This record gives sequence, C-alpha cells and structure tokens, in this order.
Amino acid sequence: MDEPAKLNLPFEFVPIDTERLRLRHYRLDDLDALHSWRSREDVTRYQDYDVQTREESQRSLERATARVTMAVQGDGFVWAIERRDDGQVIGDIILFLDSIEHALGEIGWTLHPDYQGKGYATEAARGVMKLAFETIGMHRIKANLDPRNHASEALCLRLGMRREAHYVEDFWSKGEWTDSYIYAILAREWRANQ
Amino acid sequence: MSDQPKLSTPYVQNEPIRTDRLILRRLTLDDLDRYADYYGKPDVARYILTLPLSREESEAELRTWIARDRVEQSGDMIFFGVQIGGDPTLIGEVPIKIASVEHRTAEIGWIFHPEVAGNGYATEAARTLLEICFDVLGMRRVVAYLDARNDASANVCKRLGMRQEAHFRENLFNLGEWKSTFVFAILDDEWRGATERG
Ligand SMILES: CC(C)(COP(=O)(O)OP(=O)(O)OC[C@H]1O[C@@H](n2cnc3c(N)ncnc32)[C@H](O)[C@@H]1OP(=O)(O)O)[C@@H](O)C(=O)NCCC(=O)NCCS
Ligand SMILES: CC(C)(COP(=O)(O)OP(=O)(O)OC[C@H]1O[C@@H](n2cnc3c(N)ncnc32)[C@H](O)[C@@H]1OP(=O)(O)O)[C@@H](O)C(=O)NCCC(=O)NCCS
Repeated sequence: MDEPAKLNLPFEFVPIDTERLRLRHYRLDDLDALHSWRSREDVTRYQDYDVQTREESQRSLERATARVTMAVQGDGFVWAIERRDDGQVIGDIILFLDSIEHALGEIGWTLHPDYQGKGYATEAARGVMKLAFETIGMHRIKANLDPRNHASEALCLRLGMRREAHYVEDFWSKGEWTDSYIYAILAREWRANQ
Repeated sequence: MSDQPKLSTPYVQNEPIRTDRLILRRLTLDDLDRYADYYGKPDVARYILTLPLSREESEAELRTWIARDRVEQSGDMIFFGVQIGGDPTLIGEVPIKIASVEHRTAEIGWIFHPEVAGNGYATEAARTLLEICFDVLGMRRVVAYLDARNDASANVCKRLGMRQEAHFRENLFNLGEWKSTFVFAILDDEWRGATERG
C-alpha cells in the first residue's frame, strides 16, 4: 500500500521569500508592471492568451488579486515576482490545484524579457515547489508548454522535471494546430534533489 | 475562433451498427446479468478506477448509460453494447466521449468480458468508434487513457494505429496505490492514411 498524499486545505495565500526575490500577492497598483509584459508578442507567443490591451491586463490583475484561498479543484495562486533589492516587479508565477483526490498541482511562469537569463524564474519556481510539496502537500506538479518554447523547457529541466507527454496537435491556438509537452515531477523526486 | 470545420453534432445512437463479426447497439436492461458479471470481476476491474461494482451499483450504472443516447457538448459520453452477430448476449462495451468540442477531440475506450478475450473483438469494435469519430462526428483527434500496466489495452491502441503520447507517473491515487497513466492518440489524417493503405 502506498501512502495517500494529505493536502493541507484550505490553504491561504502566503508570500514566499527566496534569496533574491519576494513572491507576493499582486496589488492593483502593479498594473504597469503586469501590462509591460502582457502587451508583448515575444512574451505571449506560447501562452494561452494573446497580447493584451491595458483593459485586459487590468482584468487579469483583478482576477489574480481575487485568488486568496486554495480549497477546491481549479483554485490557484498568482505571485508577483518582486526583486528584493529594488522592489521591481519582474514577472509572475502561478500554482494551481488540478486535483484534490490525486493531490496534483500545475505550475506556470512568466518573466519580463529584461529580466530573463538571470535565474530568477528558476529561483521563484523552486520557492513555489517547496511550498507546494512541503507545506501544501502535493504529490505531483506538472507544467504544460508549447514544444517550441525552449526557454520554458530548459527551465523544467533545471527544476528536475521529466517530459511525460508530447501531445501532437492537441489544440488550436493563434491560428494553427499546436502540440504540447507536459513536464512533471513527484514530491519524492523533488525531495531527493534538495 | 477556428477556421476549421465544426463537429457534426449531436450524434445520436440509432440503428445497430454491423461490423464483420459484431453488432454495436444501445445497452438495454436485458444486459444487466452480463454487465454485472464482468463489472464485478477483479480481472476486469484491475485497471479501471471506478470498478469493481456490486450488482446494485452495476444496475444503477447501466440505467445511467441506457438513458444517454447522444453526444453534443464537451464531456458528453455514450456507450455501445457489443454482441456477436445475431446473438444478443452482451460481450462488452465501447464508449465515446467528446473530450473537447473546440479542439475536436474525442476519447474512446473498451471493456470486454474475459470469456471473449483474444479474438480481436475489442479492436474490431474500437475501429468502428474511430470511424464514427472521424467520418461521422468530424473529430480531428481521438485519444485513449489507460493504466500504464494495462498491456492488453495498450495493444488494442497499437493495433488501431494509435501513438503513445504520454506516460504520466503516479498521477492517480486509487485503492491504496499510486497509479501511472498512458495516453495514446491518433489524428484524422493518420487514420485516413492507415485506412487507405488497408
Ligand atoms: C519561460 C521563462 C520564464 C524562462 O525564463 P529564463 O530567464 O530563461 O529562466 P531563468 O530565470 O531561470 O534563467 C535561466 C537563465 O539564466 C542563467 N542564469 C544566470 N544566473 C543564474 C542563476 N543565478 N541561477 C540560475 N540561472 C542563472 C541561466 O544560465 C539561464 O541562461 P540560459 O537561458 O542562457 O541557459 C521566460 O522565457 C518567459 O517568461 N517566457 C515568456 C513567457 C512564457 O512563455 N512562459 C512559459 C509558458 S509555458
Ligand atoms: C482491454 C481489453 C478490451 C483487451 O481485450 P483483448 O481481447 O486483448 O483485445 P482484442 O479483442 O483486440 O483481441 C486481441 C487479441 O486477439 C487476437 N486475435 C485473434 N483473432 C483476431 C482478429 N481477428 N483480429 C485481431 N486480433 C485477433 C490478437 O492476436 C490478440 O491476441 P494477444 O492478446 O494474444 O496478442 C480487455 O483486456 C479488457 O476488457 N480488459 C478489462 C477492462 C479494461 O481494462 N479496459 C481498458 C480500460 S483502458
């Protein structure tokens, strides 16, 4: 018999501090930052949303700030990634609850291009995984990405995730049939890497 | 949103469908004895999360599916009962579910009485599902999910020309065990290519 995972739910949003970053709740005055990348084609290219107008970014921000509790499937958190030394908001990171019964989570990340290439996404994702596995008690975390998104795939690999799926043309996105990869990692694998 | 053709829905189960050796038809209450017989068997249930079922549970389940004869929206599912030629004895079932209307994706499956295993009936019935999905419903992609240890089911997928696209490690917890999942898939042009080559 295996041990079932015991999720610590309902779970209230908490900020996460890492070496260089503070992952915190979005505030309504973060609109300029959020919109600075959500309005860029190079950021949205492989995401499930298109380049946004300021009004759309405003609504995204409102939805993100409304997420304060993880209790039922589909609930999730969105952390604004703030650089500790200068308070700059450089991107965001999400964790969603995919299944309570099977203790599954999903992670996703975005950085403004000016702040890519410095290991910030890796650092933020490690902080979120630590919370997800050690505190919330998830068993498995996955990330869903477009196979052409090499930066996101490289991030999955840095985090010790494994490619578990290559779906061929499984969804219609931005005018074409698109493949997807699913990467995943189990709690015990994550622990072994610490 | 997509300039792709739309699904031809609703699809309604009407006349029985004949294949070389089988008839795919609606389930009826007369099937209950056989239905409860295989849904209660540990070897049938081993790789299906929701099984085994008691006779009472089997009856409730059967009634649920008898009441459903069409698929239209994402999530809708129907079952075909399978019999050999004119013999009305239920030998198994094959479901079709609309996984996504938007992405024109269906999910298929198969459950057969162990007594009839090893005759190619599951593959023959599932080929008919692929025909319905691609030729009638206008699906673009058909997938099957199975327990990673279910070799017999993986072999059905391979015989159908489906490709293994996923091996999820421990994505399900059931009856005291973490279970892994395979996903197989086939696209409409692959299906047509394979059908034309015979
Ligand atoms: C996916 C995304 C977040 C990855 O960002 P990233 O900056 O490449 O990832 P990190 O922040 O972890 O940085 C890693 C890079 O910094 C380098 N680096 C520098 N200092 C580092 C440090 N202290 N620690 C780790 N890496 C460091 C690494 O070598 C690596 O460089 P490389 O890309 O040349 O190999 C980013 O590309 C993005 O936001 N894309 C657009 C949005 C998107 O598509 N999101 C994902 C949808 S699935
Ligand atoms: C999965 C399941 C339907 C597979 O049944 P099956 O009998 O192995 O599959 P088929 O009906 O396609 O028969 C194939 C076998 O018949 C043989 N066969 C004989 N005549 C055949 C013919 N005319 N055409 C094709 N195959 C034929 C094949 O060689 C193959 O034999 P093998 O298993 O020794 O390789 C069955 O094991 C089952 O119901 N299991 C329990 C429920 C379950 O797990 N369902 C799947 C959930 S994902």
